[in-house]
Amino acid sequence: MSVSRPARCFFPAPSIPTIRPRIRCRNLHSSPNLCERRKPRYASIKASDMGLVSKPAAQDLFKRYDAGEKAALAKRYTPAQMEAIEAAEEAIDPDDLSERGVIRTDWGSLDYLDDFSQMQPTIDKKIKREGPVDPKERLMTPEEYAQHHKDYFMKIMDENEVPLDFDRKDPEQLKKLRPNRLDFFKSWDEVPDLIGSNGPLKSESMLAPGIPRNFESAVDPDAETKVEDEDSRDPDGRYDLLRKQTGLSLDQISKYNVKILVKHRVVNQTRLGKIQSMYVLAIAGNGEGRLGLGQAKGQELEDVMMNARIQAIRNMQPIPRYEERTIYGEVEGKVSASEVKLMSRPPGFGLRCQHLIFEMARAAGIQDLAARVPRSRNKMNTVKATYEAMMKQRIPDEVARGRGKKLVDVRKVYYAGRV
Amino acid sequence: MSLVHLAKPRLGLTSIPSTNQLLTLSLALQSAGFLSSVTRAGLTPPPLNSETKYEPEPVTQENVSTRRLWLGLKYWDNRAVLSEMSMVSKPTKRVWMDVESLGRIVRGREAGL
Repeated sequence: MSVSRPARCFFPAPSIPTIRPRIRCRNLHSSPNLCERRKPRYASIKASDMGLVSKPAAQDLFKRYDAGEKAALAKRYTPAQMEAIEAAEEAIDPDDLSERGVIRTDWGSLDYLDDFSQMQPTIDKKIKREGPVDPKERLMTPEEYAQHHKDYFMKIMDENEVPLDFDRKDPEQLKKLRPNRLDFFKSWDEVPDLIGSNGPLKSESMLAPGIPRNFESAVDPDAETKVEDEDSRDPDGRYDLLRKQTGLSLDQISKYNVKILVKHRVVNQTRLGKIQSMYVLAIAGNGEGRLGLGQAKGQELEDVMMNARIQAIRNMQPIPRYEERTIYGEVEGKVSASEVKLMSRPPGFGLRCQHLIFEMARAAGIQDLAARVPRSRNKMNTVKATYEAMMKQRIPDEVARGRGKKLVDVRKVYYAGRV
Repeated sequence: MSLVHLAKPRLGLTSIPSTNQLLTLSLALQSAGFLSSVTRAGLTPPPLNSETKYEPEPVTQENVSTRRLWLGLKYWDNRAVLSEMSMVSKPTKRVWMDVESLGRIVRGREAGL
């Protein structure tokens, strides 16, 4: 805000209608109050309104069926199914679909497809009954309970009448007699045992929810063979979760350049005293332009180091490299008070930078680099700032496309690209 | 406020006073690909619809005071194309340069500023 701004307060604004009531409040600072700040006289237009920065509209992503497509569908589906398709098209909002109807592929996603619209007793927790408690609810007396059982069985007997030529000695015919053993079991599930204010009620079943009869089919027969490839390099299975989640093999993991750069003790002061833990920051790179940072904290140093390594491998991201040896131009990264400036250098220059940046560049597969760390040299923040700077590179092709220019790297054109 | 600051709140179209100096600068920026459009219009923005051809009304003595230059800012990959811009030669300290030094500057070398 300029110094001349408060001077405007002395001159009354020329007849601008103010809708909100003007309340004088004491200024504790020199800038004008939020309610008094001047609106720009010439309103600008947001880029999102011009469609410059937004995603394509949901209506374009999920287009409605046109007449031709509907005719093609009608050949395949019955009229009832077509009605259902049209009803679904009406009911489902494309905005909602584009936001929520996405199959998740991130780490936290489930390894099976489920829209959570139905309860699956084998997987999901039993739902507790919710709602107001009936104050008049009571257990049935034995007489009432017996009466309800009697009614239940009488109903079954009425529905399945005994044939006239029934022979009590024939075991085949005895099997067909209702109520049978199954009906007795069912009666425990179905006959009410409580009396509420609106009549008899069935209490919540104490039995485990129904398990599908062919539950053995849910067990993956290949599961045992998957576990079998236990390796002598990883006897404790520490990389198992990482391998399962990323699909990497132990060979690939062992080829990565993983290194612990920062390791120190941190303390949390609580009312019970100081609680110490170890903090570890690791990097992982494949030497071909991918680099990741991993942080972990905990009590046992061995475990923490392992977790940091795994996190680093998991967080590996591609880093742009010019000619696969240096970076594009000069980039700066800043984390807290640590500032890092990375500069690209010609072939054969080498990695002339401090040890942390050297390790990161080596892991990422950068051979020519210069760096300055002008301010704070905190190890953790230096590593983070270097990573930020490496990810922030502006690639000339992208800049040229943004400006609508044609860009050709002549080094790739002359001498058949061998430079 | 510079154009860089206007790209921060993601403006698509903004206006600056219509002067010959600003017009030359804006057109230079547009030909370098940093601005999408430079339009001289009144106090309200020119129509956004690209299909209609906008004919700016001629500048007369009546409307010259209300003319403004409407600049279309550019975005690529959800980042502003014009990310940084600052004045090199200032009224307080002029910088003069010959063609050879300009060539060095364009190649990213030292030019003895």
